[in-house]
Amino acid sequence: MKIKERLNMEIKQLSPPELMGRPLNEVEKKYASKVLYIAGSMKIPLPGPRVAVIGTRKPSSKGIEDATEITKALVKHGIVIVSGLARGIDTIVHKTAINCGGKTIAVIGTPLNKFYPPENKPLQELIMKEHLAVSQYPIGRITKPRDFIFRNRTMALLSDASIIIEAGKTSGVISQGWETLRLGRPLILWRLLLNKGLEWVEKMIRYGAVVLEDVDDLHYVIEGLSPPLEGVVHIEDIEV
Amino acid sequence: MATLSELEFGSLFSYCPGSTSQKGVLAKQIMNAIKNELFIQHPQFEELPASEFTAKILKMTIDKRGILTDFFSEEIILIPTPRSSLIRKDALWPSLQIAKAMEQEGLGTTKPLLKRIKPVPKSSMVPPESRPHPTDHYESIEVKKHGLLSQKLLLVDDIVTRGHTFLGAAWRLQEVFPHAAIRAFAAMRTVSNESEFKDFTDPVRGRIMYRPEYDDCLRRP
Repeated sequence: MKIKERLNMEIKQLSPPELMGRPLNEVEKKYASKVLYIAGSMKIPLPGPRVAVIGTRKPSSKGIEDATEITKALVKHGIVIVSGLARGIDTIVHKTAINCGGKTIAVIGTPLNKFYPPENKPLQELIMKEHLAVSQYPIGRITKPRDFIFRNRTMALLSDASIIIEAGKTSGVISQGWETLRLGRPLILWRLLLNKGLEWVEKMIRYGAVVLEDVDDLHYVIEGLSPPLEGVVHIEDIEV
Repeated sequence: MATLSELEFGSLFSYCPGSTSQKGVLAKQIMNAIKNELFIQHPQFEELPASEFTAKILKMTIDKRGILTDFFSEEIILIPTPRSSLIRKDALWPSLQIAKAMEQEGLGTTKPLLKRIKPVPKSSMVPPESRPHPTDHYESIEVKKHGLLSQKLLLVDDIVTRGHTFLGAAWRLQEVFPHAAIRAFAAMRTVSNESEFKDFTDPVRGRIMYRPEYDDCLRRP
């Protein structure tokens, strides 16, 4: 069987409500892709809680260390780790989640049969087999730079909260941060982002982002995600 | 600053943060649904966004039990309380969603008159000692320009804990509407003591009382 045929068999096509197991509210619908392509063995609708951990393609050694520690702490609490499979922080985050026995979801900016960056091909293939890869782009689409921005919005939609570890003035994670705030979900800025003269950091704090100074304080985030926002709340009986 | 030291409030649902009973977990799921405008299903209704579910149950409760009847009418102005941070135009604002759904049920007219001009710490993300006080809310909220003549104002929020946001917002409103009757309604109230938690439906009328010596509030019940 040719690779393309094999991939087509493995790739499923779902709507965001089917993937998330619930309808979308009006705010969520605004930028939601109509169709998502998925590959992997994770149960559908997706388990939760899901937290996106994202950051720069060129992290510092401290950024790598902290991303690893934060991901480990989240996995320990049963959180599904979401990231974008980009170079740098995203790659560290996916690998850490897998190595710790956690579950991970890669939301990528290319169709599922493309591998970007190329060195992450083995990681993407592993995720497409044992975890879950999601793309809003059909096979055959030629990738444009803005596709990664739309991908960031999709990642925000699929995540109950987002944590930005380290990033620069024009990082792609900025779009995900704003979308997370728009959706009314927790946006956590790791302490490495402070005192760097980043205007977007100051602005996001005014609009509701929370600074995380210590990994131990992650419990505020985790407690806020319990019980997970899975499916629709069913009420059998109500006394009026 | 205005001098309102007591505010009458009503609420429809309740939840207990520490409860692990079946009823307690369901109540927390409903709380999550209300805070995130997720969907709730009940045999009598199709799947509804939490705000619409709340407004429908509220209307049924008022009609059947006569509770909180005097809180609502078409002449009442429903004023959503601001979120703890600044908010963009197209962002989720649960209090506004609830107020709009209440308007659809004929329980008042929505006017988003209040605006947060300076963020305050989000209570769920900070330790108790860092949570904002009524004066912090008062100092970080402003009243938008309006041409309102109504003298019956009802603040609307998703969750009430101690009532600090309500009281700070009420002080601001009182400055602009000195003769208005101001009350508050929350879709859900927190119940800290599990022995006092009965069920997620527990409509009450109560009072939020200011304690100037601590700059905090006591909520009863």
